[in-house]
Amino acid sequence: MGRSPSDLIVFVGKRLVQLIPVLFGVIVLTFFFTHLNAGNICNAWYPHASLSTIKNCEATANQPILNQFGTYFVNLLQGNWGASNTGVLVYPYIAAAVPATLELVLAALFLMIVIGIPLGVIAAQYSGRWGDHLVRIFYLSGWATPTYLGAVIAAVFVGPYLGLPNHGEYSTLAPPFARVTHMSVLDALLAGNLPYTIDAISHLILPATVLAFINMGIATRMTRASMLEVLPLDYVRSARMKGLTEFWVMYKHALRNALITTTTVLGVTAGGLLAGTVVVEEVFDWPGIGQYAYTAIGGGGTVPNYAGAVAVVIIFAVAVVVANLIADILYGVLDPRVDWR
Amino acid sequence: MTGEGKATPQGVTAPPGKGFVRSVQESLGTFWRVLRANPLSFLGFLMVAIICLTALIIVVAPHLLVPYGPQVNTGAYSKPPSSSHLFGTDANGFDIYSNVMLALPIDLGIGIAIAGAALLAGGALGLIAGFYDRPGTVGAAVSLTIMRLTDIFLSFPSLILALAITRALGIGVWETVLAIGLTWWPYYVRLVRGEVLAIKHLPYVTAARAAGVRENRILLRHVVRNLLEPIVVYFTLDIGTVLVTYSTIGFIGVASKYPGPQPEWGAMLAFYQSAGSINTYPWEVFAPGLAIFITVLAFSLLGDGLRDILDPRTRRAFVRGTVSHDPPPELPPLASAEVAGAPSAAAGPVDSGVPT
Repeated sequence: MGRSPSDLIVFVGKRLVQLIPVLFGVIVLTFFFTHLNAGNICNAWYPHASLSTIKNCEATANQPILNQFGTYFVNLLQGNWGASNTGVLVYPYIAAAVPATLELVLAALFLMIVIGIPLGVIAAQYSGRWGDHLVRIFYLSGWATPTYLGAVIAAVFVGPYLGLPNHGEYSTLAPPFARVTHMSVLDALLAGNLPYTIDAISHLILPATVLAFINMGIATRMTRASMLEVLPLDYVRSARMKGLTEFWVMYKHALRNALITTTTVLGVTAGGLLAGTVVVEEVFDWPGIGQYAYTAIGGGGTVPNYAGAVAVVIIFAVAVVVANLIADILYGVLDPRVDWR
Repeated sequence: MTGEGKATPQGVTAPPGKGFVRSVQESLGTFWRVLRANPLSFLGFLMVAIICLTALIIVVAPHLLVPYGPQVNTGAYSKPPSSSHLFGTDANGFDIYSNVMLALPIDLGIGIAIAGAALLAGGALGLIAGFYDRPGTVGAAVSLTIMRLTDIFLSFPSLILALAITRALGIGVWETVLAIGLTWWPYYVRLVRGEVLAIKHLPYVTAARAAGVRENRILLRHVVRNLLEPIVVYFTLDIGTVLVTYSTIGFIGVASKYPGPQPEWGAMLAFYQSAGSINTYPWEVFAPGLAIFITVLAFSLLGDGLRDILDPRTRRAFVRGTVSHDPPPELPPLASAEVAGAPSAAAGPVDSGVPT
């Protein structure tokens, strides 16, 4: 059984090496799927573009598809991710948008953990009774809510009612400090600007809540299942027999063990949370990668942006892969039964 | 079906000689027990039944439920809900209730069609990947290829890949259905493969093999039959997920056009939301939004309760629950529930296991 630090390096290294073919496959698939309509690919992606843009596009599109892919792949590795129809470079834009989305997703994940996990404990505690049913109705409602309906209700009705802002990262367009990390709360904190920190947090609440509500089911369900597995075990019974209060038994003894499995939530939810950002960021005007995806795809009748769309799909997939990697490593570290070699 | 009992020893975990009718009966029995144990699943079942019936009526005899056509100007403009216009009217004078109802069959059909196609394609690949994996054979190479490809597909959030494919294919209902279908099957590969890996080492499969039953026959008769239950449950839940995804693509505006001859909920939402009227005419957005919510909730309530018997961790609690709920059972529920669910003992990977 190898669980020394050097074994951990092997454990992580092996997983990193396994990523390489997956990432290459992601790029290949994205490229070919976005070229599916080989007949009039230029019309599909540049519906109202100028003649010169179409000409440029057709000049590329007339080359053999493998050559096109080769060129694209080399450019991608060199950081040249192309430009939108209006000439906005994709790479710098995405690089600035990723932290904003990361912030939103982490905030949603935080809410899912502090609300979703206790709900899962309650559901397991009252399994088959009304507590369980109410929790189930709650998380299934989130599951069944179309993202945009949830977002629009929060933005138009809940936001004004609670006095929470529903638009952008700060109340002013340009904050009086440098955007070092491009995460609104962190930047304000780094600048030591307390009013702006509060302002940034209040802007984060609504979109993060919507995102968390829609994905709540995964965390709650998994916690409930793991708790139901742990609760009949002997050690939980002994904890009760020692005379510990029910709260202490549940949250200290049982949940601690159940949470090991729940860490895999991180990997499972990444896809859902990221997909949710496409609509949530658009509704709340959050300058992240989801909003960029919305416009790059041509959402709401905007002009699509081929280079941006391909890049965004790849970025989303890479994010899911990384989230799964983190969850995998975390599980390996937390569960003492996992052999690192 | 009948000749098989002779070929295999009797009295193993799940008697393979059991008739198909009997296994269906047993599955229905489990299904009914879950419905009785969980009032929410029962509610979901009722809702699904009503929704399907309504969709059927709208297809067969629309005039019974739908007072106006999709693009009929009723003469009432932007009126709030009333007895003559249940969900109000929009600025064009279209009756929103009629449009929402006319969209039900297509949205439901899309959900079932995509999930069904994904089930068939992904299920077949999962069977191959799970069953033919003896090292050094062609099957193992094929299985490995399938799993690597599945891993890559699973890296994409379905929505974003489907959006990009739809954009490349062109705006339309069928293009969107194809796009989602192309991204949806990997989940079934993983589910089915996990189940097959667990089932194929069970004693009754080994017994069948020892008795000289051919491999392909073992796969189709013995393995597939035990797969049906988890797959049907996941499928039920999946219909709702597909619906939400489709309507999100509709909302983003690359799925279908509204107003048009064939209304669709996501497109309706996109149209009314971009008309900027949510504060003044909230019913325009809420009607299609609630339609999606209720439909997805119905399938989720049904499927989520059923899923308790899939997950080995919740199944034990479920069995305990049914036992304590009805003390003198007509057939031993503990044993039969264990048998019915036993093959999925290692089904963890679906949503609980570590990524492998």
